[in-house]
Amino acid sequence: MGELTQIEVEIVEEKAPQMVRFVGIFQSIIGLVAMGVGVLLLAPLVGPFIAGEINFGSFAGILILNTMPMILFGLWLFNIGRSVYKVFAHEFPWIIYANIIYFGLLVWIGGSLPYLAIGSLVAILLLFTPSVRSYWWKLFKEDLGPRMKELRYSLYLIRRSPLVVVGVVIILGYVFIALTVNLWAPYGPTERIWTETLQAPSPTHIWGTDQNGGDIFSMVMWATRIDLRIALTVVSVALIIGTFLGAAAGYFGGAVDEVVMRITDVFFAFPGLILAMAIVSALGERNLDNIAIALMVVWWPTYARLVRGQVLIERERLYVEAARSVGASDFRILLTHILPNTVQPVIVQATLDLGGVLLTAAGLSFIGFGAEAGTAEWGLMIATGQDHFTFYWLVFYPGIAILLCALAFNLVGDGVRDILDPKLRRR
Amino acid sequence: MKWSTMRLRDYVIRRIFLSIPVIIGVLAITFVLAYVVGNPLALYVDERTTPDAYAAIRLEHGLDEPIYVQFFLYLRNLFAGDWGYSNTARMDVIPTIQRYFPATIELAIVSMIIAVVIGIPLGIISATKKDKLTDHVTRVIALAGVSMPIFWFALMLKYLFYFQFFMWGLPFLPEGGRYSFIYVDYTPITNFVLLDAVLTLNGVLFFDALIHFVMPAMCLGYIFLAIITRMMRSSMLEVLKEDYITLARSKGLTERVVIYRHALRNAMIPTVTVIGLAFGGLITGAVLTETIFSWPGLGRWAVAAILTSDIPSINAFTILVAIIFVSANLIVDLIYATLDPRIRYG
Repeated sequence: MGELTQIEVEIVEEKAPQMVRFVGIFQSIIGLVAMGVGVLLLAPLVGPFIAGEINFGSFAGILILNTMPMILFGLWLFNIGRSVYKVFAHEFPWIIYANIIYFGLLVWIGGSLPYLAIGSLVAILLLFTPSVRSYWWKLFKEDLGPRMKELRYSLYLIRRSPLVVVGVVIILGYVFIALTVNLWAPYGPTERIWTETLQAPSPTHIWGTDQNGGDIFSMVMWATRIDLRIALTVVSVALIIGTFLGAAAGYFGGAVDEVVMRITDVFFAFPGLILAMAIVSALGERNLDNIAIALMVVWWPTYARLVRGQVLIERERLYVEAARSVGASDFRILLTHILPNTVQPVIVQATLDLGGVLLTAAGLSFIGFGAEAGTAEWGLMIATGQDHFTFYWLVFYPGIAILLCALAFNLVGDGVRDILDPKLRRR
Repeated sequence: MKWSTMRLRDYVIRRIFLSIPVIIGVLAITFVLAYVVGNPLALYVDERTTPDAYAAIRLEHGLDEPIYVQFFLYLRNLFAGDWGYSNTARMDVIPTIQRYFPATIELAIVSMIIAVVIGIPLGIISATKKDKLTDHVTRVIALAGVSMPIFWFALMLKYLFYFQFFMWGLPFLPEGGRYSFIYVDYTPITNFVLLDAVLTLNGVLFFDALIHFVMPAMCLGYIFLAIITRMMRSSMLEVLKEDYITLARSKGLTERVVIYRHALRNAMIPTVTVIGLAFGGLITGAVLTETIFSWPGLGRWAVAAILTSDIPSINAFTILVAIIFVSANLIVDLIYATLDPRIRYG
């Protein structure tokens, strides 16, 4: 704990003013709101689902994509709020991280929910009021010191490897396009000029037009939104599920471990695309949400195995023993001690998987599972271009978009893996 | 010596027994997908069926039984060889598989040969010339292969070698299919075209089939060439750092002997594993390539089946692929254990 001794910390905690408690209560309320939002998102669908008016796919889509993340995050936020109310100084920084994620989640789901995100901004602001800040800032900085040093060294290594820089630049470019495409795209995603079909690339349509007169350039640009969104959703949900199950399996061992690992064995018995195909066809309706669900089901075992392996290694370390001897609960040891130390390989895997998911999703939508005809989506554009393959621009440009994006994720993933590899570090 | 062979045999038996629950799990997953998540009624219903008839259909096909009874019936049918009727192929599932399977396997084997023959030397060269120009070029080729959508690559190949070559008046490659059925007379014996051509000593058929193989195999092979090259390069680099390589070099052995005699053997072990695992990927890739090159294989059949919700075909395909994949992994593990004694004692 450095300069601040345990006794000092205790003194700080004893003299906690009302303001600190208030931050805790405020945070707990945000957590409850999050859980409520999660329930509300699903509630209107429960009746029709039971009555059989909507199919399993769209119900599961809302459940997995919106409701479960909201409820889990709500639980997390509520827990942090409770801990902060008891003035655990080391829990304060988590408010920042958690609220940033909560903010992102609300904006992601969209609708009128982003207005709720103002609450999470207020929570962060409250932390920085002087009377509250004095309780955690010093500890936080001390805690952050070595991490920042390590991070700065990593950034230095990243800057020195040109391939990673290229990858990061490409990814940032894609993100920029996805965020701002509505401002500058020459045509809308579903806009068709019926008089100009199958035009070769020219100054008016720089990448040509398709058989219905859609501008390929605009469609490829609009598609970044859809495709990046699928990749991100799939990887993040698969990561959460996989980490949760893998950590439980690795930490508790015994029957839990056996069951989870046998299930992953079965999932690993299928090549990814084949299982995804079977799932999509079972879900019935063909849309992008169902592709996302299928890919999540396919991808979580990777993370479960990875995290389990890491947890098995970390579990035997001395610091876990120390935490246990102080009386920390299993949940706490797992969440705040073991999992942060398993994060590096998981992040590398997630980066690589973003490329993989992108390719598989494009493949599925090429076969004909994707969005309805006419949507601006890379795989679907190639599939429709297939019938007119002598007009190369229908196929070429969407494919290049997929290739570059997957390439960028692979470059970054590979490069970062080499950089984080302790064997290669500090030679 | 005797003791070590004993241990190998035990390992083999244990490994084979371990894959039985996996296969049962595979069957359970296909059952759940088709009969619990999906709608099994769709199989027996067409536009003219009135909703009043649904109950009778359910009763007739045992769909109103409890789930576990249905699962039992499903397993019984599978093991009795009754895999259902494939609407897509308009015949029973098992003869359909017998008909389409050789085409896919043949394509996979040819692509695999291409990938291994080019990929392994490429990986070795890349590792020995680390950070030179050849290494950079190889790495970019390999990385592009890993990030390339295979269906896009296939369409681009088709555009260039079929359409554009035709436009330029060059000899162009055939668009798709396994052989030119208009010009070449062929009655299948084993359904492996190349093998049949050799058996009947039919030179024309052999070269015709070979030409038809070029694009699909190039396309499928490139993806696996990329994977194999990357694996070979990294495992070679790993091995070259070992002490025994330094020792071999300090003994004054030539670089050639060091790499091909000493390093290659150990570097091959991870690559063999990847080759086995890539076999599952080859089938995935085949699904996408076959539809483009109208290759009459399992993949094209499966895609057609899924687009028409033909449940028996989808199930059969999924189970078959899983079984192939599991056995490929099993074989790889066994080879691995024979190559590297450390595994079976671990």
